[in-house]
Amino acid sequence: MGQRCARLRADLENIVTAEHVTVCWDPFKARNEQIGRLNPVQDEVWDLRSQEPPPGLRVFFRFALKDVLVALTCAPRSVPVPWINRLPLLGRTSREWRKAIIECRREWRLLFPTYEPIRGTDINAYLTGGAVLC
Amino acid sequence: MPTLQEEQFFAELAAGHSGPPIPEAKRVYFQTRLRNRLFNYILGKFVAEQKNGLTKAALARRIGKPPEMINRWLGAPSNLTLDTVSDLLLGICSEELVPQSETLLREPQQNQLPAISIKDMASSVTNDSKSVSGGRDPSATVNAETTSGVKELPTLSAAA
Repeated sequence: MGQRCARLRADLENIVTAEHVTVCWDPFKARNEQIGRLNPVQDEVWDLRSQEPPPGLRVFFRFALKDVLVALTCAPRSVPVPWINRLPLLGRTSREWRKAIIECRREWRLLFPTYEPIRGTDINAYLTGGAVLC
Repeated sequence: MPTLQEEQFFAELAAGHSGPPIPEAKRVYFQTRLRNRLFNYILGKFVAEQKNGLTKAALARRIGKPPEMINRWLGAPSNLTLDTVSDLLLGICSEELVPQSETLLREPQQNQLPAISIKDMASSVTNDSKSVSGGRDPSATVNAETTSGVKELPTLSAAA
């Protein structure tokens, strides 16, 4: 748990401070980018992979401003973990993915009742140095 | 001046060679940070060379690796090893990494105004108000301590 938190902290710091971050801009087309925009895109929910130490997790977040992300929830990717009371997300169109996105939106609403996450037409609206590699 | 949180975070490091063991979680944090930095460095090189026509396919061909391996290496920091860092730098820009490190204990503070700036600001504000009422007193001295012994923002007291 300590290792997991340490890696995750370093990764989250990296997303907002790094000169370049790999981004999956189109949902369902992720290969192994650092962050990805989730379906449906109008929900403005993104995820970050936390793969080490196994089992892998996904951390769900939204952008409050450019280069300012608010990490809200997390879920196990493929294997249940005892310290998260959630089923694994599994397949990309699963019910658990949808639930995770709804839960992320709900947490945001609790924190920011009247403030919407930012929206943009390309990655530059969200991150300085976001790289969508083809 | 470091915050209490920062002082605690660096406590084991600041204790020197005879200090307590550095906790595993702290080592893992810096391992990840290093990996992320290396990845960012290589990704930056690749993005720059893309503008000069470099593609993942060309890079794969250049260093004799399958394209899907290049995808993996340039996708996330967790896929890098020292050998892949070397291959990628050679293939992307014909460069090699030159090791350099810096101490963590003198890392500049972020998101925090240096104490001196706050003092200067306070002095400046007080001086400005004095200027309005008759000009700056050259004999003004800084008094940073209150009678209760608690440090406060400096105030100017003019010598009689």
